[in-house]
Formats: sequence, structure tokens, C-alpha cells
Amino acid sequence: MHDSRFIRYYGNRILQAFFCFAVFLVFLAPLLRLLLMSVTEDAGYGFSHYARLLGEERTRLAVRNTLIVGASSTAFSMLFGATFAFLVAYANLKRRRLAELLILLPFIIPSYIITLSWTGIFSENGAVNGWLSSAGLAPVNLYSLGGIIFVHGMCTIPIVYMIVKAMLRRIPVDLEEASMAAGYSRRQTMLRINLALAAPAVASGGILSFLATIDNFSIPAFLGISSGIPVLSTYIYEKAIGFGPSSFSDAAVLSVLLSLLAVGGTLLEGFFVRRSPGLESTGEDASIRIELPRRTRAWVEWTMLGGLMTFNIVPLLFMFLSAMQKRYGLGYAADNLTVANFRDLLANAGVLRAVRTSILLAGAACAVCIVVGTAAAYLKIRKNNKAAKILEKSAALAYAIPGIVLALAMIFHWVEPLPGVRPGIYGTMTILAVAYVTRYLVLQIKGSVNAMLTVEPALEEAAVAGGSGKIAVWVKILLPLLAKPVLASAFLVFIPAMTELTLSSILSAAGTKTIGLTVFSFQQAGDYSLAAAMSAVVVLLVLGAYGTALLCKKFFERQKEKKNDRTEAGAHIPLVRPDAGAR
Amino acid sequence: MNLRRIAVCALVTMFLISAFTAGAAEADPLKGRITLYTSQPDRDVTQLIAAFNEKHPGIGVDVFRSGTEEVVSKIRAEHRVRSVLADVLLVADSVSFENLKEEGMLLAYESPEVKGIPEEYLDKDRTYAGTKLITTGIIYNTTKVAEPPEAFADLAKEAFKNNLIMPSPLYSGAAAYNLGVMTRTEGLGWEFFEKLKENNTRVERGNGAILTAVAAGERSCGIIVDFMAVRARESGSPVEFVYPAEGSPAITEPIGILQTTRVPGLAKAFVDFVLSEEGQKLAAEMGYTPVKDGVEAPKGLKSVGEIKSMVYDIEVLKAAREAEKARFSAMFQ
Repeated sequence: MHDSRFIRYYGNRILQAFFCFAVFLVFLAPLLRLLLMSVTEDAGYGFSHYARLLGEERTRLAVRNTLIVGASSTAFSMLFGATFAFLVAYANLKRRRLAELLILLPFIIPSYIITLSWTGIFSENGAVNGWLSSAGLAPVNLYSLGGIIFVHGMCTIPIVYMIVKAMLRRIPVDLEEASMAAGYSRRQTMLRINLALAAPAVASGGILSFLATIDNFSIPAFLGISSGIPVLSTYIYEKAIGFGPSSFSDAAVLSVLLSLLAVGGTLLEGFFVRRSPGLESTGEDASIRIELPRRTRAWVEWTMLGGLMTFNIVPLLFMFLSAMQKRYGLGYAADNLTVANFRDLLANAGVLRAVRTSILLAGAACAVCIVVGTAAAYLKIRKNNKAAKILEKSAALAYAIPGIVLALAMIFHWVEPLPGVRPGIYGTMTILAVAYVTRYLVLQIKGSVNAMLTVEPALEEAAVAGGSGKIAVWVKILLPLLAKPVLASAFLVFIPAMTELTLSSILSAAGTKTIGLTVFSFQQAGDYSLAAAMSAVVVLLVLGAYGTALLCKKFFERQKEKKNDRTEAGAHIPLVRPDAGAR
Repeated sequence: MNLRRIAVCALVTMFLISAFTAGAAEADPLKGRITLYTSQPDRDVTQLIAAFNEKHPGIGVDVFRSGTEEVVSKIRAEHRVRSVLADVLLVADSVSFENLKEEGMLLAYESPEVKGIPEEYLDKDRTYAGTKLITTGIIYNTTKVAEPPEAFADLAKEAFKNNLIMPSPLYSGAAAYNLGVMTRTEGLGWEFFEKLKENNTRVERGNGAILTAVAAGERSCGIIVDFMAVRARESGSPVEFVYPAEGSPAITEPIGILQTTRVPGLAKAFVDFVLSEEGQKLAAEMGYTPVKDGVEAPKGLKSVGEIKSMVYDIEVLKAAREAEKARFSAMFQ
């Protein structure tokens, strides 16, 4: 008896030490290399690069623009993302599946397509601006700060939506009933209970959209370069590809500045989350909680669907039409449309290989993220583990650093991660999987943490008290409760990893290609129709996967119902701690 | 005893040597794999390697293809951690090569195939050589422009106000090269770019965006590389390409071998092939101007002998590049 406790104690210690070491090696070390690079000078170390860059007008301008764009577009996506989540999660709207699909579209369509389509619509000599100026209004110019903010906001709404909706659904109806029974109105209940409980999810959705915005390259590259609006991500790219002994150091310095912004953002989030009350419940509850009167319902529903249609279907249409153009830029008349581009793509063996490679890589990265992210969430929430918290913070930084710098840091780190150790990962496809995990892990951690927060620890304690082992607790309690929300956030990892461009454009091994790199090649060769066709194929793939997931979900729910029917007589586990409402 | 042993050893060695040389003499002596880092479009690389493999079936070529800037960043990062995986490099412009040369990353190789290639498109130390000519000129939309421009200087005219577009030297090595050459050309200089700014010229990330905007009529006129404009015209887009009167700044898509290669013999065979008449004809088939005199350019493009080149000392350009980029970005901010 004594022996087994001894072994368990040291076993745990060793496991934890190993976990810390792995966290350090995979997530912290590349970031430290970056930091080191930023203070490397011709002879020794120092802060001269910082002094020089901070003294430049352009750097200050880039930092200011980055802050403005990040904050404004995050506010935009939080507002719309949370509103949509609220309506879809609670209100008695019809066509909710359709609405959800429309809301998620910008996440599936590559952001360069969204940007292209909006600039097409608001082109200087285009119909919309012609109509606006004939009506005496100022024409919309997307090549401006406002334009950048708008497109960023559109692209990050889905992130906020996904996280907030999952949270709202997990707020137990009992709480609302208790509040109403205590004499509060429906509106007061929503404000004081549901919105307050959902605040951490809104905050973590917001921070993810902030991080995604400040490191995004393709949108400001498209809209900001031509109008002379530098942001940090484009400025960093300029530095990284420049020559001269200090080019890497300069890029590193700017990345450190960007990381500071990111850290500032996460601290702000921590502030909100700490203030939020705890929440205990299990599983999502998709029941309708707000019964809108018929006319209001129809009004809300059609305003939302109408808005989503105009704002999110337009880029999709644009993409398919561009993909079908015989000659790019010659309009969309029937005689300039063809499916030949799709035929060419599907006949191209390289393209098919790229699709397979990307799916494989994204799948592998996703699997690792699920395991590591959920383990980290468990350690953070249940054990208050320091290493897990450090992991979360460094993963957030890795998500916020522009792809090109992260890619370079990956090369510097992974060729020789420890002195004398050369694992030979760099130069194979494995490096890309590692890079994807490094980049997207934070999305999974956030998702898993939110999922973990809603599982009542008492359930596990009860199981342990009842004599269940650790494995049994995971298999019987945690996995079934966590599976759905964890898989939902894994979707947030899988999609961007599948279409990832910047990391692939540097880290891909010779002889292999990813989807993103294929699109990039087509664009660079001037084959815009083929690039659009490739993106369209990806969107179809994703929609197919989404549809399959929905079908699976339905199937499982039906199985569960059958099972529940059989165990109807079984005792209910109390889901809410009696004191939950009071806290 | 000892003598016997020596005799046996000698016999075995002799046998091995003869077996080895006999086997090698039979087939193409070059066997193995090389790694090529390039910024050429996929289609072109595939064609090039297929043709190369017809001549050297024993040499496999692994390709990493990305943008010039990405490829060069990657290779410089690899150099820093002493793990360069590329054997041969083929990217857009010679300034990138000059920089790598300065860092001691390139192998000098006097290919027998450089004859016929004008000296101005070769490195004097032979660490790299131009493989084709990609000149920069003017593209205009035939439905929008009544009076076509004939020279770069024409773009400063009032008629093109709000209607110009050009690639950014901050994001494209080729455009940075052009900036260096054009600001040093008589009649253009920095004043020319100031006038472009006054004409409210839009600056884009790459040549593809220029073609899109001009073909769609969003902007009537732009600065662009020759083959893209000519290809679009040949496939029916309403555009036309002009070789400017001042001369054509040209990048040469040079090829070079990395100092660190473990298979110099194979790498040299690849370089020889690209520079040979066969390789140059292939470049013309792909739609580019061959850099070798005597190999004819494809339809719509001028051959190397007909092009009025606009060149400047590459080392001066290289030294000034970062400062020029900064000046440009301050001007167009």
C-alpha cells in the first residue's frame, strides 16, 4: 500500500516535470529564440534595435494602427458575434441551422477571397459607389482604416459566435427558473444571469478575435499597402524579407512589440474572467428560452437572415463566379463563364496530393491539439497547474505572432532544439504539423477550458468517492460531457490549419505542397481563376465535412434518445449545486 | 602470411574498382537527388524538370516553391543555423543573389553554357547566371485608353491621374530592383516617382494585382512585367503591353548553386541544362524571353537582342536598396 502511494506520488511528479519540459521545449523555446534574436547585435547583446525602431515614425504609426484596428474590429465582432449567438441559442427563431451556416461562412472562406470580393463590390468605378455618389453620398473606400476594420470584423465574427453560443447553451435553465421564481423579470434574468455567466466566453471570444486580427497579414496587405497604412504585421513582413544583418532582428523586435499588445489583450481578458461567477452544469441545452411574439420573431429572423445573406453570401458568390471566369477581369456574363477551371484542377495530380497532405496535416495537428489542449484545460481548471497556465499564455503568443516570424523562429529552433540534438524534423512535413499545433493550440485550450468550466467537479469527486479510478472518471464522466464542445472547438483548429498559408509558404518540405501553398502558387503565377477555383473546392470540402458532422450529430442524438428511453426510470444526477445562484 | 594478406586485399580492391567503373560507364554517370528552391510558377518548374529528366533520368529533383521573398528568407534562416537544404536556387532577381553571395552562400561555377548570354546578365564571379529576361513595361486597358503611353515619362501626364497602378518595391524584389534602376535613369529619377504620387498612383503588393485591376478596368494603366501582360492579351483580355522608350529594366531569374551542396556534380548538370540552348528554348515555349542570343522569343515579346536594356551596377543597387525602399515608403505613405 505504502509502495503504491510512493510510486503514484513520484509518478505524478515525473509526469508533471515531463509536461513542463515538453511545454518549454515546444512552446516557450521558439519564443525565447525570438526574444534573443531581438537583442542580438553585431557584437554581443543590447537594445539598440529597439531604440532605433522605436525612434522611427513608421514604427509608432504601425503600433497605433494595429491598436486601432485590433480594438475596433474586436468590438465589432464581439457585438455581432454575441448577438447572433444569443439569438440562435435562445430565441424561438426558425431556420437556425441556415442562420448558423451563414454566420460561419466567413470562417470557411479564405480571408483573401472575402477581401477581394468586397473590394470588387466597392471598386472606385463600380456600381455601388456610382449609385452612392449619384445619391449624393460619399463613396465607400475600403482602402482605408475603416475598410480594414470592417473586413477584419467580418472575418472574426464566427470565432466569437462559436465560443459564446456553446457557453450560452450550457447555462442551466434551472438558474433562470430560480431567478424568475425570485421575482425577476425575463429581461432582468437574461441580463443578470445569462449575460453575466456568458461574459467570460464573450471575453475569450473577443481576445481570440483580437489576436487573430493583429497578426493577420492578408487583409492589411491587400487594403493597407496600397493606401500607405502600415500595421505591425505588414511592417514585420517588410522587415523579415529585407536584407542586411539586422533584418531578422528588426522583425523580431517588432514581433516582441506585437506580443506585448497580445499580452495586454490577454491580461484584459483575465480581468473579466476573474470577475465572472463560476458555473456548473453539464451538456448543452438547446431548448428555446425566449419566446418572441410571432411578428417580432419574423422581423428579427428576416433582418438577421437578410443581413447575413447580403454580407456573407456575396463573397461566396464572388468566389464561385471568379472561379468560373474564362478570362479574369472580363466580367461575369454567361459567355465568359466555364467549368474548365474546376476540370483542370481535378485533373491535376499535384492539387489532389496537396488536398490530401493538408487534410492529413490538419487532422494530425487537430488530434494533438485536442489531447494537449484538453489536458492543459483540465490541469488549469482542476489542479490550478502553473505549467498549464504558462502553456496557455505562450500558445496565445504563438497565435499572435505573424506567420512569417513564427516560421523563421521554427527553423531557428527545430534544426537544433537542444545543443547537439538535431531531430531532423525540419525539412520534413512533420515540422508543419508541429508549427500548426504551435499556432492553433490556443484555440483548442480556450474551447476546452470553457467546456471544462461547465463540468461540475462534484461529479468527479463523487465518482472518486465511489471508488472509480482516474481512467474511469475520464471515460465515464469527463469524455462524454466534454466531447461535443471540445470537438466543436477542434473545428476552429482544423479549418484554419487546412487552409494555412504563411507557415506553409516557408516551412513546407521540398517535394510536398499544401492547399494554401497551391493557392499561393496560382496567385503568384497570375492564375486568379484557378486560385479562386481551388478556394471554392476547399469551401465545398468544408461544407461537406460540416454536413457530415451534422448528420453524425443527429444520428448520435437519436441513439442517445433510445438509450434515455430505456433508462428513464434511473435517478437524475443533480446538475446544479444548491448554492450556484448565490455566488 | 602477411604478403598473402596484402595480395588478397589488392586483388579485392582492384576487383571492386573495375566493377565500379564498368557499371558507371554503362549508363548516365549522374545519379542521385538534388533539391531546388525556386519562385518559378508551378507549371514552369514541372515542365523544366520533365525536360531535364529526359536528359538526366538518374537525377531526381525535389522542389520547394514559394514567393521569392519567402524562399530567400527560408534559405537565409537555414544558413544561420547551418542547415541549408537546397542545392540549387532559382529566384526572381540578381540583388537577392548578390546578398547571398556576400554572405558566402554561393558556389562559383563557370558553366560551359554561358556563351551567348550577354555579360550584363551574368555575375562577374560566376556565382549565378540569368536564365531568362523578364522586363518591366506599361500595360493599358484598350477600352479605356485612347492615347496609349509610349514611355514611362508619359505616365506623369494629367490624363492618367487617378488611373495608375504599380507593384510595391516593399513587397516584391523585382519592383525594388526596378525602383533602383529607374531612379538612376536620365529623364526619370525620383522626380518621376514624385509625379506618380501626385497622379495618385495606387501601389499594390504584386504584379498579379496590377493585371487584375487593369484588365477589369479599375485602373486604366499600370506598370507590370512583360509576360503577364502579353499572356493576358493573347488569351483575350482587353489589354496591351508597351516596351517603354527609355528602355526596359529587366530581372533575369538567375540560377546559382549553394556552397553547402553535397552533390555539386548533379547541381552543375542542372544549371548547365537550364542555360543550354535546349533549356532556353523551353523558356521561350513557356512564354518568357530567353536570355541567350539566337534563341527566339515567344510571340508578342522582343528577343534579347531587340530589347533596349536599362541596367545599373548591381552592387550599387544592392547597397542602396534598403534606403530606397524606406524613401519610397515615406513618399507613398
